[in-house]
Amino acid sequence: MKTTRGRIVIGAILAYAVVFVVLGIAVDRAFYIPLVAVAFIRPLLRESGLLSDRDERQISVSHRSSHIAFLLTMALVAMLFIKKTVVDLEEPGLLLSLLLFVPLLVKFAAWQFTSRGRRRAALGIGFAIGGFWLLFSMLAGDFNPQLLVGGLPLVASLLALRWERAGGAIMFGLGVFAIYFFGEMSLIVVLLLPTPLILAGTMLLAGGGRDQDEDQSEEEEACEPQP
Amino acid sequence: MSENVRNEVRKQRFLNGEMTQEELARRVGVTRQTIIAIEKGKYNPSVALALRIARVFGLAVEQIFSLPEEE
Repeated sequence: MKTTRGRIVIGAILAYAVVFVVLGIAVDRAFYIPLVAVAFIRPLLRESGLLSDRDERQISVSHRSSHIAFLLTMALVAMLFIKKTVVDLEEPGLLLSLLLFVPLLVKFAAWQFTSRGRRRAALGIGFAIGGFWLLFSMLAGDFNPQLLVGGLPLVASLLALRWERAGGAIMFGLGVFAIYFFGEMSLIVVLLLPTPLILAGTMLLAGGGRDQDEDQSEEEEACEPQP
Repeated sequence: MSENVRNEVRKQRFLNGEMTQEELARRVGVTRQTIIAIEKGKYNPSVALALRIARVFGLAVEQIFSLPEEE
């Protein structure tokens, strides 16, 4: 199904590619890097609903093949990670760690937001990160002030159950604090702790209780007797 | 999990003035390949698409799509 918008998008992508190829040839080869986007612009536009040039079967086939590719890629990366860390007893390195953790994080977040909605997903991420952080704080030793800090995302999540924006603001603040706190440790820690907190906090702040009302109306509908 | 769904799309096309796959595809807003896949039972359409196909033939959706009888 070729739509006018689809043709415009293809034209824009071609123009974008030509510009960066020319810049790559004439100015600097670093201009080839943005060409990576050419491969992902259309799928991203489709996922965001801005481009509808495929019917439901084509989308279904595309999703299934992407899922298979994701599983196989992750299996391969996980095997490399295990070989490096368990068999060779070496540090996995930044690149391999990013290849393993970033897709898993994105998968988890996308699954949460797709299946549970914005508010519940944000709370789920808050509780998961809070629990994770608290567990590691406890493993660090006996009772110490760090334990209290580790429990704060959990407190923010609990607060957000009743006061969404207040909980979201604390979660966002904790994320920013965590970047400052863990920033020098490694990119992986920053990806695992602060980034999801900032994301969840932003979602709670941006929503301001709209989904809560939707959740309640769903529950009310479920309670109504069927005719 | 996908379940095989029987369909009468091909039969209904011929009963409706030998409508082409291309024509049906255009009227329900999908590609001809999708109509071919539905007719061959390789793809089960969404409820919305099944309803659109049924509307084109002026029938109820269960007159075109049905589950195989349990033995």
